[in-house]
Amino acid sequence: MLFAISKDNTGPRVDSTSLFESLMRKSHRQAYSLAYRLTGNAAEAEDLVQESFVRAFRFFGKYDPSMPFTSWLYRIMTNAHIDSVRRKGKLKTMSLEQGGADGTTTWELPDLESSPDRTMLHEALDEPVQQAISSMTPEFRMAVLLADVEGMAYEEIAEVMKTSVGTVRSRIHRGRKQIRKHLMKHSPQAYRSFTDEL
Amino acid sequence: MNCKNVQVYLSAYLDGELCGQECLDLRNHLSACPSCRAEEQELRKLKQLLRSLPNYQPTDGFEDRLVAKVMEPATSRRGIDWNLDWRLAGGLAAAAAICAFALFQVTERRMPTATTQEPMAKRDSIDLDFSRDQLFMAGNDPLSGNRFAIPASHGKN
Repeated sequence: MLFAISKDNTGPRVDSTSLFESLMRKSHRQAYSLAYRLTGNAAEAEDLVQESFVRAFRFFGKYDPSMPFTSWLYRIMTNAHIDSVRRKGKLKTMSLEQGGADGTTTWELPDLESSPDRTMLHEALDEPVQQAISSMTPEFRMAVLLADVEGMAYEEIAEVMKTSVGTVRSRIHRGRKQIRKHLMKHSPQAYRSFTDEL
Repeated sequence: MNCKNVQVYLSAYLDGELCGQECLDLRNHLSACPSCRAEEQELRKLKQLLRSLPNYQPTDGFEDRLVAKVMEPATSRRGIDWNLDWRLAGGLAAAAAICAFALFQVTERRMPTATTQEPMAKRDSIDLDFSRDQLFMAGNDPLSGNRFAIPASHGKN
């Protein structure tokens, strides 16, 4: 779901601060969901959302209403996420096999709201999928998430990521293959069961 | 279209991002190549898995905290600016200290050069004075080296 400002000039002129607040209240949940997938944990997701909205508010005067607000916000979030990852020096280029001192890796995953159509297989695969996503570079991660979680078209993703459609196509394809490789290696049984059911 | 090309375009094909001739060529290849068809099926299932991932929701109260933080008036943000000013001041102080140190180093290096040259100059001056004195005592003009020309009337008065 993409939020955009109506360009109806006949309506009452809305104060930009109120308009921004309204857009923020509408889009923050969607932004949080993407931020969570990008960062892999709740605390960093909240920080990323806040940083993105702070930047968006600062430059709201430059926002082009012809572009969906969420697309513009995701562009800001992409930059904020890449900045954050580089600043913390935690580019997730580590090997997928690399773990903690005891050979395991733990990922903070909160309780998810229950959903009737949510299967046990999904639950079993959610953590490995998040691990695989977190193991990718920020550029690959963003491209895959915008395509598969947000359902955006390649052209939109290219606009958000300020790159070419060809680069987006390559990042998505290679990113998906990385995820599949990770699942086949770390959760082969659950993944096979899931694919067999389809 | 060969298998290598198909691999590159498979994800775009699954996302409905191929059109026209590219799409037709890829479909033709898939119908004739079991290996690429298997790969396409695998990627299709993965895409379904990714599309079905649950949405994470923020904790209660996040929305209000977010709005308060983002929309807080500029006056309450002065604390951040103040911190930045202190950082700037610290940076300037460090730069001034480096400049002072560098200046001190340069000055200190020049000093020994000056002290070694000064005695040389002094020595030259003493030598010159000494030779002039010798010439004067010998009755010569220290400037021209010739004998003093004493007028004949001098000393008669």
